[in-house]
Amino acid sequence: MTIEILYVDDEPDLREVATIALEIDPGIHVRSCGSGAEALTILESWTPDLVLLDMMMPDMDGPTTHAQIRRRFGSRLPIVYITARAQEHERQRLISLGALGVIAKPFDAMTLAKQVHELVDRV
Amino acid sequence: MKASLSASVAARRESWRQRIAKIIALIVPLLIGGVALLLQEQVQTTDRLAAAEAETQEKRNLILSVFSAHQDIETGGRGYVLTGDPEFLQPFDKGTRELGRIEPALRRAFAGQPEDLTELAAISELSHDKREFTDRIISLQQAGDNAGAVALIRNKGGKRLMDGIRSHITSLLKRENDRLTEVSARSQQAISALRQVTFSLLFLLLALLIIAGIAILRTLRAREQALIQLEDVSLRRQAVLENAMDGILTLNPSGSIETTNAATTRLFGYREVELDRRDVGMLFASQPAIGEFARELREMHLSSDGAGTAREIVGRRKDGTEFPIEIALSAMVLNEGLRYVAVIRDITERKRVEQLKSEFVSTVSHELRTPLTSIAGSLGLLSGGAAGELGERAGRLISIAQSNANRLVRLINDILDIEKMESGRMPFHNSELDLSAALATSIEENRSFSDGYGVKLALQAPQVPVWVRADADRLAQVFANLMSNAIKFSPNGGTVSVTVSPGARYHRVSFTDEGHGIPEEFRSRIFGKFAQADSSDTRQKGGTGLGLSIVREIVQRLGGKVSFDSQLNKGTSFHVDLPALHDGPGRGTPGQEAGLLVCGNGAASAFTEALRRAGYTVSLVGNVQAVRAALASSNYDGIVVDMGLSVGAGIEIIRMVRETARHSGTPILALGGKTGSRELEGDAALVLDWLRKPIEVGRLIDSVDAASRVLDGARPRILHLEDDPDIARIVTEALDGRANVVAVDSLAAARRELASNRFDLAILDLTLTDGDGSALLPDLRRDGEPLLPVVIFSAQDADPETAGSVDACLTKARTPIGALVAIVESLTSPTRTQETVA
Repeated sequence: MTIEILYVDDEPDLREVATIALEIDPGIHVRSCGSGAEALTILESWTPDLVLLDMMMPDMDGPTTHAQIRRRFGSRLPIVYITARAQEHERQRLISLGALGVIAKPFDAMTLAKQVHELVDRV
Repeated sequence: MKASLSASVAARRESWRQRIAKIIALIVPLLIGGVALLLQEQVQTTDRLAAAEAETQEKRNLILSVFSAHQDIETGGRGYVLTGDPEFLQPFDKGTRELGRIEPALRRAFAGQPEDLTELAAISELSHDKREFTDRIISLQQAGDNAGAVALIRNKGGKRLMDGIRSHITSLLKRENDRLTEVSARSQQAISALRQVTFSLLFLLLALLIIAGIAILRTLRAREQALIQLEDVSLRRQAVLENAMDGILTLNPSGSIETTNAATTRLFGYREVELDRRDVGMLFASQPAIGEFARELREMHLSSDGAGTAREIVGRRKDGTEFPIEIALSAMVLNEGLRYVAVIRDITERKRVEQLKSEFVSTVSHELRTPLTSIAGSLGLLSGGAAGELGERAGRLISIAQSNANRLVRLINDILDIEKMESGRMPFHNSELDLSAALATSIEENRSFSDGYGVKLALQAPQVPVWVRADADRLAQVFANLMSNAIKFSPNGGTVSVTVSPGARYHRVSFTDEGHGIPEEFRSRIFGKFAQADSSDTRQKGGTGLGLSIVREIVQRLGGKVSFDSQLNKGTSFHVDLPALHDGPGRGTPGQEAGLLVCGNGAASAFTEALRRAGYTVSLVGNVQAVRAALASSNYDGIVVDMGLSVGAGIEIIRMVRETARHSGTPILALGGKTGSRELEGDAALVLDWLRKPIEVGRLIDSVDAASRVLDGARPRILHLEDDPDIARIVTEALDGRANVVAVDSLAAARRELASNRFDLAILDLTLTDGDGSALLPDLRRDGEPLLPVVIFSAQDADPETAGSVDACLTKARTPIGALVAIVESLTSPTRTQETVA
């Protein structure tokens, strides 16, 4: 079974690297986009198994996008943050917002797929 | 606020009381005058009454003496008849004589009283009859007819006459008495009336005096209260002042200290009395000459944003230790005139923290740079195929890594630049630059970058050089940043136009793109650090978010400013304004390019034209404000002032020129006006030459030429580094009249002087308390080229390398002082200076 992931990040280089890193695992398929608004459009027609969400983005930041997703598509879609601000109190805050987990930037490219697997297994 | 409010109320109340006091003060003398007049009137009335009494008495006496004279006549006549003794004739004669004497007096006394005169006439008639009767008796008696005489007496004719007289006299007396009574009653009445008025007036006077007294008492009490309030306010302020952490001083316009607070004495280690009335310069490390600070105060006051201008300088304590201070100056106008408030803060701690922060940032950045270098290097090698051919995916990953590593390197470099500039450790090697040329170079350097974006670069600059004073590398950094911004935000195929617009005070360089414009909400923070209109946008454009911040720092350090205007979807222009330098490098030679400022009105344009024909560059300005602006923005070689400009304007301009630091030595020519007039006494020395009107153009040009020569032949300034005060004095004296010598006794002091002043030659001693004089040599060079001639004058022989790098090497005691003077003169002569320039 393939895990479908939507990766939302405004940094194109990072989108490319993360996609490569995740797709090392043949059981993962990644679709990525550069903003919260784009993500909402994509989610209209496609329901992934997990949304990987960057926290700091222009226009619509991670938590705002998160709230929009919850409002429009309900609370079943698992959301994982991927952020450079991953200190413990930030992590707690994001978890309290209803995130499934938090992955710190810079991530370890070689273990990223494994981290995602573990999170998805929790659901 | 509250105190001042109640003070003003008190002042108003006081003015109300003052008005009353004034009115009373006016009325009281009037009243006193009135009372005096009344009293005089009273006295006069009394006098008149007494006079009337005396007159009545006199009249009564006269009347009575008339009666007694008749009695004498009667007695004499009867006695003679009865006794036949002629002795009785004596009273008769006396009475008769008396009557003759009294009668005219009586008539005089009763003149003007017709009733009384009638009575007197009757008396006179009766008296005549009586005398005749008595004469007849006496005649009868004398004739021996005693019986006849007695019969006459018995006939009672005499007695009847006598009774008639008595009755008239009684009537006269009575009337006189009545009159007296009447006069006396009238006088009494008048006097009592006067007395009443007098008493009323006196009472009024008393009342007024009481009111005045109360008013004065109240005023005094109010004043006392106001004083107490004032004292409280002042005590409160005093307490605030004394407990302030900052040193707070008040200065008079000449820069002398008037008051200090406890913090001042604590900060600087002086006692209050040691600071009182001293020049404030004593508190600063770079001790300005006495009065120098006052000039700065004035300039600060002249600049519009004078209030509370703060700047950082180095303070010096009593014990000589130096520490960083921040001084904020503001002006205040007191009743006794203009005063300045200086607030001095010890910023040692702040500086230390800043230093720590800056060292930390600097260390971290350098530490980051080291591993980054290996990363970028390795990635470069990988992408260059040093480790063999890479697969497509690997190549892509390596290229992402490489470009991000490069971005990180740029970011760290920018952070280091910003940090250096903010801590003031970025050295600026300013020199005169032609903006057009600098931009042409920058455009060439950015050509490949713009080609990459498919953007054209177009330079529009005037044909003549546009001079500014700047550090060439920093200016290139500014241009590169603004140009790359404009290129990055231009559409493919667009044009970035770079424009140079010369101005009077500032020259402007503009970079205009045809991009989307800057979003409104981003404009206010565009110069901030890591400011990004749209972070993804910036990252796509490959910027660090620090470029404009760096641009602004550099431009501000160069005394200029950066601004922009932008229209959405049309494009953006960034403008760099740099202080204009009108002279270009070096000073213009006379007769060629010397810049003259002519202050005059239309009439001056005639000789302005003549001066231009004679080869001078002339700027004509017509009023004091324009002169002020011109003096502030440019260096002029000479200033011509038309004294007929407007009343007082000429003098004002001359004083202004002398008070502007950069023009304090510029020659001034004054034209016309009242030559040698009193108004310029004391200022006359400020003027190099004075030409009468009508101005002969030829004479004017001669005079300007002469002024230029004076300027070129100005005494050279010599820095003498020498720790032996005696030798310093001897050298200064030997060069007296030939050069202006600034003697310093340490390397540190020499560096301070060099930083703040221009010198034409340096004389160095080698053995000093704080090091070797040759240690100053690098300070006297730039890029290996000597900035000014150097003479070593020391007891110690210089090592061959040092000796070879200076203009002359003289040994104390071995070289006569005259030889030193000769060498100094030859090294500072104008011809040599020109060779150096050439």
